[in-house]
Amino acid sequence: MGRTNWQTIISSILIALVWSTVAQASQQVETIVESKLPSGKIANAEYRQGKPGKPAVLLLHGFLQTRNFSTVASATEALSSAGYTVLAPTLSLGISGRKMSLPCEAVHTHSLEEDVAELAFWSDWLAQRGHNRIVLIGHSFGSVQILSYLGKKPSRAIAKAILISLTDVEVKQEANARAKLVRNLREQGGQNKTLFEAEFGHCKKYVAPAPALLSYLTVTRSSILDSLAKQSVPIEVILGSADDRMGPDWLGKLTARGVTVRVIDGANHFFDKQHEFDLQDALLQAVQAPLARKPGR
Amino acid sequence: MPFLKISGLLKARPIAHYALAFLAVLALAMGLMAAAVFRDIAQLDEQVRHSDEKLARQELNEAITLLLKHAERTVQSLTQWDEARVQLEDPTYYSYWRSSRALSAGVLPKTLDAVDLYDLQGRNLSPAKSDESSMPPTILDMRPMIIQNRGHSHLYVFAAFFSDPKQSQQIGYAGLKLDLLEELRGLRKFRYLDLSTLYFEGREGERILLEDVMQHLRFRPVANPETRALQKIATRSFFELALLIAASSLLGYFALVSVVAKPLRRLSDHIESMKRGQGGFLGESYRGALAISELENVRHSLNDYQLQLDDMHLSLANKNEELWVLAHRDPLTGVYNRRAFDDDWQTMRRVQGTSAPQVAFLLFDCDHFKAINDTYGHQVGDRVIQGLAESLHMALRAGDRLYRLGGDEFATVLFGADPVSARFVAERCMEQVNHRDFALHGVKEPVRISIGIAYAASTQDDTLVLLHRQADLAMYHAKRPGQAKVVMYSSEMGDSNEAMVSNAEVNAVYQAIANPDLLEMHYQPVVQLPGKRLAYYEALVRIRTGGSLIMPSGIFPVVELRGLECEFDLAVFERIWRDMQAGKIPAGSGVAINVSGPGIVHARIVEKLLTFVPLLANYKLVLELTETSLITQITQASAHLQQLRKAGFVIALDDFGSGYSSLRYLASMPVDLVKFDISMVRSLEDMGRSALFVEDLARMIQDAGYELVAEGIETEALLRRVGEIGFSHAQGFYIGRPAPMAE
Repeated sequence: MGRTNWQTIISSILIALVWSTVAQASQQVETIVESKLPSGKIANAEYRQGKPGKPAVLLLHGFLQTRNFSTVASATEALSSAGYTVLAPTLSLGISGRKMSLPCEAVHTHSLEEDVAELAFWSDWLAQRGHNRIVLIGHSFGSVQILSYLGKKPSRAIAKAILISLTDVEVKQEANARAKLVRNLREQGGQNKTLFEAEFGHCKKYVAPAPALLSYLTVTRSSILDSLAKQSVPIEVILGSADDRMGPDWLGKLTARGVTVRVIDGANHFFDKQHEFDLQDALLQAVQAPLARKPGR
Repeated sequence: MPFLKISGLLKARPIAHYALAFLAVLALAMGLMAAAVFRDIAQLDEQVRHSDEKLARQELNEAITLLLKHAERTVQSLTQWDEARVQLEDPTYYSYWRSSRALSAGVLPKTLDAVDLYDLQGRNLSPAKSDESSMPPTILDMRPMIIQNRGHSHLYVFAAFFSDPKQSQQIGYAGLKLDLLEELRGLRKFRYLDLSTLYFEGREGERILLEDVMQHLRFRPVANPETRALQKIATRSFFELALLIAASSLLGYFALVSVVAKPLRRLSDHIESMKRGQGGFLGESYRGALAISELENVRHSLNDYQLQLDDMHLSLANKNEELWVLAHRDPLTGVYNRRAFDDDWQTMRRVQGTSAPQVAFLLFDCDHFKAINDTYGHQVGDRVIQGLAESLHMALRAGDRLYRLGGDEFATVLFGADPVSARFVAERCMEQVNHRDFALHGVKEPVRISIGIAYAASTQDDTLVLLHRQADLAMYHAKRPGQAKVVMYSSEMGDSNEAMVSNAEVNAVYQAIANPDLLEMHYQPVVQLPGKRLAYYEALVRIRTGGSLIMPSGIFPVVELRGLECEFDLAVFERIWRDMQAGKIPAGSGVAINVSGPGIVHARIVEKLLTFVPLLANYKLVLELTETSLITQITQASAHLQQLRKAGFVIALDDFGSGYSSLRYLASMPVDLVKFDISMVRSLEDMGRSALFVEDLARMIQDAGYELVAEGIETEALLRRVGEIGFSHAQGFYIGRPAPMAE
């Protein structure tokens, strides 16, 4: 009799644990969404539906990366676990159903405009699903793309933008060389399909036709700062104090423009190791902060 | 058994030859064993090679399967590659992608020779090329195939390219080109397949499906390290073993030669030397570095044997000396005997050769020695003989040798002496004997000798015999009453040719002894008196040779001189036996057989005579012996006569009265008949004292129980006379001459 009781108790506990896990999991349904973009390319994103009443989060990866990049993937997980609806697209970058990060040496036919259009597509996608408060979170150049999007005509559902490791696009790139490159590209014409190789971003060898490359070269430090100043959507920037991709004055320039910047000590551009949790905490705090539009919007 | 027969037929060989033969056999055996071992290894190698070949083929098969899987995985990776997929959607930058990204992006293996994308119609997106990096302009076959091109065999793998993971929408094809052999070589490690030997056999441009590639791949299996090692080990071990055996064998051979063969050879040489009488003490120098106990035992034994041999030789030499002395010395007198006489004569002939000098033969004979012996006995007789020898020896020259030829007969040979010197020596001997006082020995009568001298100016082979005969004749002359006691032979004493024993007579005697058929017996009848009825025949021997007849006067000197009495008697007996078997002697009669003096004491003579015993049933057999023959060895002669008499023979004393007659002999000898000598019977023809003496003697002997036979009856008157006296038998020319019997 005694033995039977113990067995029953243990079995009940196990069943409860499994049920709770299933229950938990049922609240975090992952869906890979594929949609055909207006360009005809097939785009895909990971969609995690969260608790109602909470804003939806659109997480955008860095340059040439995918949503599976560790910084983005851990943020996705953290936010989703916190009950937020998360949409993490992988930008097609001109490749239907792109699943892998694009190497620098690959032919980059994509442009900033196409990236922004795709970002707008996913924002609209979220809005169409009833999410009237959308927080855009971008990492690295994803933050730049978000800024570009915000500078165009963003969805009204966009409530906030959190820019992680907002990249200083001109750092480590000599200004004269960049200007010369721009001139050369412009001289080739916008329709020329000739492939150019250039040092761009973290790529030592970036291969792209001139128009595509030029589209990214329009983003400058000034344009970023100007864009930040003009935004009506609250923007919060999260930087790592050890991020060597920024100029030493980048923080000062940001704060001088009135940008809210949260610096996490010791974190690098990717917020890896223990700073992953610092980033998650920062994101949750940033997302949980009251969302209010700036006047004039 | 066959081995023993074969080994028995083989000649003796030095031990070194056997050792070399053993080495040769060992080398042959080693060679055969090596051949067998290497053959087995080769067979094992072949088996292993076949097995390895099979394993290598299997290995290659597996590698090709693996390669195909690898190729298929690669082409799948290509189809899943975003950059490749976008080329099919927009081939604007396909050339760049193909040349700069396709093989260098790290998505596809760098070992690929080429990769290309094909549209849905199977057309290559890149322009046609014909270099190493080009793919076919269109898809040849979706099945993996191999095409030989410029010495390289390329594997082509194609796969459908879908835009989605569910493969719901095909957008084109992907194709890979890789070097078949290079890929195989880099795919995995081959244990059994020797990659360096792998090559593809195919014609330029020929298309071969991958499933058929094994038929075109040529290769060799890796040499099995184990068998290779085994071969090496076996070879090395074998050669090491062979070397060891060879070295050991050589060492053993040289050791055998040094330690055994050489000492054995030296021992053998020493034994040979010992055989030749040149052996001595064998020291330790015979052996090699090591002493072999068995050989040492042999050496010690040889040395001991040599010592014993030396002792024996010494003893034999002494014995020989003693025997020589015994054989060449007369035991009674100590002077040389007849054997020494013959030997010395031969030695002198050998030494002198053809330049032999003149020689004088002196023959000494004691006068009336038989009477002295009879009168005083043998002991005194022997003293007389000794005295004579001593006297003669003293009289001879220092280097002269005195020989006792027999009985009371002595001789000496004076080499280099002329007749005068010989006579001088003879006279001195005579004088010496005359001066000796034999009365000391109890002989009252004077002891005198007769000396016959024969001289020859040079020596021939038969000089001695001739001289002996001549001296004998001279001595007989010296014995005659009124003659000088020292007589030199002269031709008047008789024809030396007649007296000489010719070589022909010698040969005839020897031949007759060997072949009794050469003897011719003449039988003279002996009649019984008074009726003159035939009693028996006396067998008288002649030798028929070359158409002539050799009479007893030519036969018996040879027989006596050569000591052939026994052999000649046996031949005569055989001849008589054959004549009797042939029926020549009338049954109911008989035969009188003469037996010599030396013969009657010989067992063989008795044995032969006893074979006549069966004839006694039909014949009377008489054995005639002269009284001289009875003198010597009288005991033995008497015993044999008793034996023969008991067997049935009649014993007759022949030539009674011709020698030194002694009635004592007659009384003591087993005699049945007494044959009066011719001279005695002839004396009956005179009416003088001699006749009376013979008549009285005859009657006395007759009264003693003996039968008498009268020899020499040549007249009727004499026959009648002897009959009157009482002779029981008569024999002579008047009755019948000796003649051969008709068959």
